[in-house]
Amino acid sequence: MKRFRRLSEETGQWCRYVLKRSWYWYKKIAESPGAAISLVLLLLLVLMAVLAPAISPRDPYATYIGPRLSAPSWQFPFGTDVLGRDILSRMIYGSQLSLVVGILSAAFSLVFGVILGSISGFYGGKVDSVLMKVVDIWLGFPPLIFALAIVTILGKGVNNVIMAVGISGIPRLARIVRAQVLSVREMSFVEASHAIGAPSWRIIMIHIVPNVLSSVIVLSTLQVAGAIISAASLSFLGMGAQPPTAEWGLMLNEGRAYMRHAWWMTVFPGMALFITVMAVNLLGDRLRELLDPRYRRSRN
Amino acid sequence: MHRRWLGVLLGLLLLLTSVAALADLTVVWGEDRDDLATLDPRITQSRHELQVIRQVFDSLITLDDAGNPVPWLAESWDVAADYTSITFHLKPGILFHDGTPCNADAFKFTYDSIADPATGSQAAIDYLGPYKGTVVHDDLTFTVEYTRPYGAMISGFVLTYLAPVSPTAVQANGDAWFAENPVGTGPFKFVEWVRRSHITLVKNTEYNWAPANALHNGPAYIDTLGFKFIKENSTRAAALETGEIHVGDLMDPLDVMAFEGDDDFDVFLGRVGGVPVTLYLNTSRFPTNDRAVRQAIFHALDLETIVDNVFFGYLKAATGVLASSTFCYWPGGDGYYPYDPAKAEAILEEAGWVDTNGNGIRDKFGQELSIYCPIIFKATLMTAVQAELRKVGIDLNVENVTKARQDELIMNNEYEAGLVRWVATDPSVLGILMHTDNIPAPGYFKFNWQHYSSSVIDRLLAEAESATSPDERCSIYATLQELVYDLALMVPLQETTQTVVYASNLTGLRWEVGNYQAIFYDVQLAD
Repeated sequence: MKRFRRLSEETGQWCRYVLKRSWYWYKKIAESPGAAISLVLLLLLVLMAVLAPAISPRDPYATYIGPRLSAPSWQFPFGTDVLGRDILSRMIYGSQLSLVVGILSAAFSLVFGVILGSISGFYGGKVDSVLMKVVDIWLGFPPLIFALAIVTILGKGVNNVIMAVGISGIPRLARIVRAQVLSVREMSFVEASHAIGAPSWRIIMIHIVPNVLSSVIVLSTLQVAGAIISAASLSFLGMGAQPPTAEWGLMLNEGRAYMRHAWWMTVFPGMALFITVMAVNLLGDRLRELLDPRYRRSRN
Repeated sequence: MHRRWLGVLLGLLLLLTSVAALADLTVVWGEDRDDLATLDPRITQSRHELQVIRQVFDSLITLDDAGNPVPWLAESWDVAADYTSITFHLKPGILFHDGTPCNADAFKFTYDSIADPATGSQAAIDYLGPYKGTVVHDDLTFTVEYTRPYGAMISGFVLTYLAPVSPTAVQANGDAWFAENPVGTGPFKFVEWVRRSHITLVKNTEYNWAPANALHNGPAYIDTLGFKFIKENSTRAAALETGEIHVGDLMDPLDVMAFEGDDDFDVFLGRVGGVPVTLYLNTSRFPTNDRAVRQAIFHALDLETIVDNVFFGYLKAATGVLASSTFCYWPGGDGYYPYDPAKAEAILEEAGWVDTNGNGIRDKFGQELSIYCPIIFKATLMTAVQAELRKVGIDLNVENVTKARQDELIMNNEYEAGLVRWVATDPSVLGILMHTDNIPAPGYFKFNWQHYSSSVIDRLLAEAESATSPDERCSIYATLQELVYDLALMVPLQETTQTVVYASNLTGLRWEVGNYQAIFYDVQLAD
């Protein structure tokens, strides 16, 4: 019981610390106008995804609500596709899937990347060399090809896409985490924990992971952008979301055949994808600027 | 001084280019598929492969535009009164591209090898019918014999599938080599095949055995015939505009519309015979094992509007198990299950399909009315069909898959619906899709995708095959088509239409009756 209370106290402290740091980082990030804009854009995007049923003007799956392939107009601001579906509504609904897939698959890579990287870095020796050999081989596969292979084995569907994109993102994170852990574990507070007989898992969770998290978060942010693109690419190739799902990559694929006659079928989902990925990337860059010691040094 | 030299140079250049044009008159066909597997007529079942094979191989007989058989390699033929054999009299002096004489022995070799299961014939074997053997009388005369009366023999011999192959080439190099290096008697000789890129043919200068309905005899007019694989519809349209290709196959209806208004291009629309694009419903699996579900699908689809909308009025909704231009087409399918969504819902309700959990999809015994349908083509059409079916509470779960994955799902019986089309001129194609022997099984890729085994259907097919008069055949096939409609084993969706766009300076393009494959023998290219 006592042990539990101490643990919950520590967790509370940790949460408070995280909140305080978040506010601090928010202010830091907003110093750069590009990053501020992308924060706003991302916020809008999240709102769009959450409020999709309320704000989308029409049912994204209803066919022939307008004439097929009608150009953008007041009635259909982004035009309609070949089945007479409203592209604006489909685009709004598409943000849900892109965000969910992007964030969840990045989270998937993050969790497993941190686990792998910490174990490898903390224990060193044979464990490290075996794990890192595996990671090296893994890194050798281009992420998209790797994701394609996984989807082929697991079958299609959103869950499998999340897993596939997530798995293909693990090795990069694992490498970075390991490098960080290698330096953190030599710190005196880690040695002190060892000396008072703390178990390894506790040292990893309480002392090492929080200290490597900052750089990992940056990489994860960039990973979100990559994951959104990968998921859209899979759908574009017919290996991800299936018709009639409103998904940006799938919309691009559907519009491809009509590119010469109906530019709006590809341009709008393409723009949505572009803006989202750019916003995430800009944010990631700003975070790196703030967190990476090399950047900090060059600025001073 | 300068200007005169420039003039001379220009003149030389002009001369050079015109000489080049004379020396190498090339016509290029833009093909929409790039996964050709074989160029052996005995083995193929793909219309994309046949488009190339047709130029390299000749048939014994061909059909004129009215659909009457006319001589090609055979000067004449006699069908036995009881339809158990046919005797051919060949034209003299026909040579394969490798110099082998195309005589009665070559035909015997070709047909014997088709009948040999080791060859792995996918379609030719079906068109050869109940083959017993070939009897060679002399160099130019032979008789093909059947084990039972076979009324459809002529319609088999007009097809590219039964074209003679060079026995010397096959025997010296084997079937696998021949599939990639075809040797026939046709007006064009095979030169090279770069996979996923192009195929090149050159004219056969020895050629003087053109079919009776050709526009000329002797060698072809054009020197080189190219086939370029361009999968993307819009890229094919752009290639036509830039002159990279002269003929574009299976053009997108929107592009056809644009080219129709352009004086530099002509459009050809051929309503292809055979089996239309059809949704085959698997009767061995839930929920399509329920006839009510299958009939409800018919009633729920306003196919005329769907097809008209998706294909901009260029393609036609299917109205039968056979395409309307096919011999023995039964017109009774048109309106057999009229579009009536209320009726579709009533049929489903009556059969116990109700939406109990309010998700918009009906269910029964706690299982959703969800139909898994892997497809490899017609994604837009299927999305439209899916949307219509959803309105009456049926979930058509469409998944775009690769050909390999589709075949695997079919063979392992892991699907409830599949999409098939089959280009053919003769109703005997129904046997390929309906005979009990053609139910797919692991390792056995066949086309009875409805998994429906019926001794009645098998008997009707056998009777139609041995019927001796066309009227008798058609009445048997009509019974069969009505039966299949009544059982609702399949939902015909859209008639296959060859939408070809070609440069208007290209003349003499002919089309094979029934399958509308382009014949380049008479083609000329004006400047």
